[in-house]
Amino acid sequence: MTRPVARLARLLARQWRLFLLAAVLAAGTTALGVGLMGTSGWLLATAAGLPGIAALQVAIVLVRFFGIGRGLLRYLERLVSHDATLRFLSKLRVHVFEAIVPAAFSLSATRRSGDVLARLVEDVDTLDRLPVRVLIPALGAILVGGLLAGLLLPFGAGMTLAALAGLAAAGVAMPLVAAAAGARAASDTVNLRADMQSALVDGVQGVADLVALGRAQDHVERVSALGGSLGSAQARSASASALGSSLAGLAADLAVVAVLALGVPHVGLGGLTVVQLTAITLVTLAAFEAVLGLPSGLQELGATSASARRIFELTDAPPAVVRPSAPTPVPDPPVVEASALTFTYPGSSRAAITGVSFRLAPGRPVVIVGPSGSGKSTVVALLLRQMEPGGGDLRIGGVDVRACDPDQVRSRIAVAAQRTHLFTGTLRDNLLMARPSASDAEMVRAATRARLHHVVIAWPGGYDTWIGEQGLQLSGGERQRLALARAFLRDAPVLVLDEPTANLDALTERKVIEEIWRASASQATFVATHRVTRIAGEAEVLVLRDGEIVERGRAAELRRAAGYFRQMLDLQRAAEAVDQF
Amino acid sequence: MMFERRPLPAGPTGRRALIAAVALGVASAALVVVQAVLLARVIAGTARAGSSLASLAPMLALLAGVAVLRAAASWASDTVASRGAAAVRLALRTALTSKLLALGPRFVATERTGELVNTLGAGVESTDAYVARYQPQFALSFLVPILVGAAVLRADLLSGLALAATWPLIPLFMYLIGGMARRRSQAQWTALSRMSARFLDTVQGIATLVTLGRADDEAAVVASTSERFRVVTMEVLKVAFLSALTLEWLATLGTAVVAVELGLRLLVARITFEAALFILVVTPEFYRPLRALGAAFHAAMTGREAGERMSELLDQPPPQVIGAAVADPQLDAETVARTDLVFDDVSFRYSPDRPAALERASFSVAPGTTVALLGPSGSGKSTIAHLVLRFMEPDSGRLLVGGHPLGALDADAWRRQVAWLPQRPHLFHGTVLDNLRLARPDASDSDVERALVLAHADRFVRALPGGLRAGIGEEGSRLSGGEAQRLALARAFLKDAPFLVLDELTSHLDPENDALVSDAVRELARGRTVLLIAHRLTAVSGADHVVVLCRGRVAEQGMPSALAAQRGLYARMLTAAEGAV
Repeated sequence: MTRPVARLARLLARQWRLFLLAAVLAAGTTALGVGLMGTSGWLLATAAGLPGIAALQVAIVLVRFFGIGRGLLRYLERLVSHDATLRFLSKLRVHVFEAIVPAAFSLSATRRSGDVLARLVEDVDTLDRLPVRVLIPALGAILVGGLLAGLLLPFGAGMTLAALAGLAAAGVAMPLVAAAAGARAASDTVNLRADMQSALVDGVQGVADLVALGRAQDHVERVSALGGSLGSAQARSASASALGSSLAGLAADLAVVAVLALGVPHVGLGGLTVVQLTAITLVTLAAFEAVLGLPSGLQELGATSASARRIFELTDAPPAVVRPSAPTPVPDPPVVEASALTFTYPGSSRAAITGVSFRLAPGRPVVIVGPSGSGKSTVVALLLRQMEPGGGDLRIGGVDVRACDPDQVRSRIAVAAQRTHLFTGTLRDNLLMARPSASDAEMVRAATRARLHHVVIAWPGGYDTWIGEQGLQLSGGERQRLALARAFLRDAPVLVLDEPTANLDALTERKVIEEIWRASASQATFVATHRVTRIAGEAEVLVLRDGEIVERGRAAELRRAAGYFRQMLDLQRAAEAVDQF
Repeated sequence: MMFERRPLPAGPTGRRALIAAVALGVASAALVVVQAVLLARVIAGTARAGSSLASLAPMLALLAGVAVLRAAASWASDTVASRGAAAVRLALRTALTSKLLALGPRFVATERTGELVNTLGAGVESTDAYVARYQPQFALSFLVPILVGAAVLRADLLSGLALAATWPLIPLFMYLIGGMARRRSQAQWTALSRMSARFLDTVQGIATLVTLGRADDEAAVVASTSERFRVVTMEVLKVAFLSALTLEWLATLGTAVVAVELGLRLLVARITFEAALFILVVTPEFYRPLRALGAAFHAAMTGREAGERMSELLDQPPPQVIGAAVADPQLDAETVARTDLVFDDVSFRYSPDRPAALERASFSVAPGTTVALLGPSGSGKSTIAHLVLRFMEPDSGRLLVGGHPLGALDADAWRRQVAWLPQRPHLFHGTVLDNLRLARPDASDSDVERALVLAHADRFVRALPGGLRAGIGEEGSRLSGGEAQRLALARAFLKDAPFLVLDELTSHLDPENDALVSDAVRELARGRTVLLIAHRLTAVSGADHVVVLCRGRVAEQGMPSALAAQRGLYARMLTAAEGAV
């Protein structure tokens, strides 16, 4: 548990000057509070002895100074601590981003990892608690402890020890007691919260099934029962945390009692005056402000640690493909040859693909078809150097891809992926990502080829329309065309298209297929698709079933043969005959 | 202040707990006053001649005792408050879940599922800060100053008046500065949320960035965005922290003023040292609850949006029910097996600004027959299925079951006689067995086994780790689309209802799964009344009656052979299917 926190602390240490300044300011704030109470006590006790007003002048000025200075220091402390923390988070973001780039594909491969990536953003933000609520207050508390010791030591070692012991108990021991008391409840809370999340997802996504099965009431009861257990675990956890704060307060009160008990016998014997005792008591009382925030801060250390662990898990993920130390340049023309490619996903007992071979060169597109789960996407991922082949050979321009720089391989391949990410920004920004140097005319040309241009000019903003999460929401077909336009704009010698015509209407589909066919004359083109009815007769087709190629040949020939391809074709035609009306 | 539109349902347990928490908080403050009294008495006591530790020891012991009591009271107050907040969350979540299920599939389909889950999950959790901390603190920020103020007033009129005079200044200044900060930072907050969205966007699109070779440029963008984020945030914080500065100043200056005032009056012997010391020690307690309220306020604000969204959900009008729901004693399996279902001039539209999903549809389903609905997507097939399942009621026209209006029957009693196979059945978080028993909780193991065999699901279930007890759903084993369909089929076999609403289970390209599913569906349909939503012509040939739909209207209907002989839509579909081959 502490290891991620320790790693984080090392990253924090790079900002140590600012954090130290913040801690000094935090200690200073408490010190002025100590000064205020101490001087006030001195003032009252002295005044009780009925001296002249002159004796009080300095104290009156000091009280005012402490009162005004304290607010100012608090303000400065908060500014400095937040500035330091934001600088730290900024560095952390860049560090995290750079660290996950090499593993990008393995991290984004499944939907749940997509959630993990999104959580990463929140996790980074969560880490501001470590400096603001733990590190700076703890450093400040140590400084205040030193100050208190300096003030009390002249009046007796026993008193000093009692006060410091109280500080240590309130700031460290009691929070630890609370953490131990709440450990079980905290872990129960995490588990129950995950169960609750699943139940809520079931309730929303499965609402039709629940209602139709007459199980709506059962579901409410399930959520209610889970909510009861979750609430009780959370309440137990909160109770443990409250125990920490209360015990810390108790430690402070008892320390004051101890200081008094040790001080009272010396009063009047010449060892200690009433004025001094008053000031000492109030100083001790005020000093505890420095540690009273620590229990709740330390209580959050668990959550901080979990966030840090998730971050380091991601940054430590092994790269999806290994970059050779002395990469061979990719020769031209980059003809792609796959022979006996095999791949098994980690943790799976069955190979996703076995013995897949093909050759991509300009002239005719190679089309891979098969039911979902048959391995099409795996072949595409291997082509794009998103993962290392498990067996077999993948060559580009005659060179084994493993000897090349994966970035250079990717730079020779234009891709329209099945799930393409739209970045918040203008459509133009999103298109030009594929080739920032492209001219406007080239961009429009690519969009026209992808049948996107006529859609865009109908938008009020045209190519400057904001899209993405915070902009215009594109339909599936529009996203598809954008991905295609990016691929056309990229203008690389190899073209890889994953389900390029899913979500397109029949007319658009036909035009896009023509466009792909035209591109394949000059680009080595690979298409993965489930639209078997639309494949041009001249295309070279690979039929994938359970990861193996069971048929291959010209589409026209396969259509005539009574094989697996023909069965798939018949199934799809029966549906299309209805849907075209 | 928050959730102004209407209070969230707290439930009696929650309310009682929150009142108890406030009472304990007041008790804790009262004990603090007692502590101050004792502390002043001990110190003042040492000033009196002849005092010794022995004479003051009982008072010190009492002081320690009160400290223990106070720690107990503050712990109990927090614990009770968290319990109460947990009860409130439970009540809220139960109410929201019930509401959502009452609103049903039609409502959920119009919402974003992720957002709904978030409201029920994290949204409900975020009320904790408001309920457990802000609410009790709000009450305490009035009650505690009254209590402390009264104690001070009793000891010294002038000091009491001084405190009373400063109290209203705090909320006033908080309000003024808060308003100013909000106005000045509104624009900046928008910029900030844009920037953090930008980072989320980048992280989620990381695979696309690497594919397009843009990752290195993006790292520089992350760095500069983060830095700008820091600068803008600091601008906002500079203003936001002003309120804390003011609060600090008022509180410390209050203490300073009281100290000076007491000192001066001690000089002229207008007040005793003990009373003055008591007032000095207790003064910070006067301001403490207001400062705690300020701290809790920001945390409570985060729950605001979620709270409004919850009120919005709870305020949704319940779906309309036509006529009074009467539990019909005739609605048992044997009766339903012998009755027909008639659509009599039924129209439905999802919203006034959209075209009718179904317009004046009339047809009937005779007992024991299979009626197929055929038409392109969007022609109204699913609307008919959802009306039969009573996810919604028709706008005009009637559904009749054995001559009785369906709307007058008890919806749950009717659904017990209907088995529904949706196109994409939801698999719930839990085991295979849990998912199957949703259809019939009291099903024996052998019933379940038989249903699996009939649905051709027995083989893959046996291959799962744990078989029937294998976890499925979000976190469990991943099933293919075809496997999920066959589990839903097994559910339908278990339910053994006389009336079947069947969305034809197609998987475009998978011939094996298609054969298995078709076979199981034939078996399931035997001896039952079936309403079949057909996506393919091949599925219709075995039907007794075909209803051809086009844009919400019944285009034609009759026996398949009769329709084929006409020159209608059905005949044209047949021609299209043959022409394609």
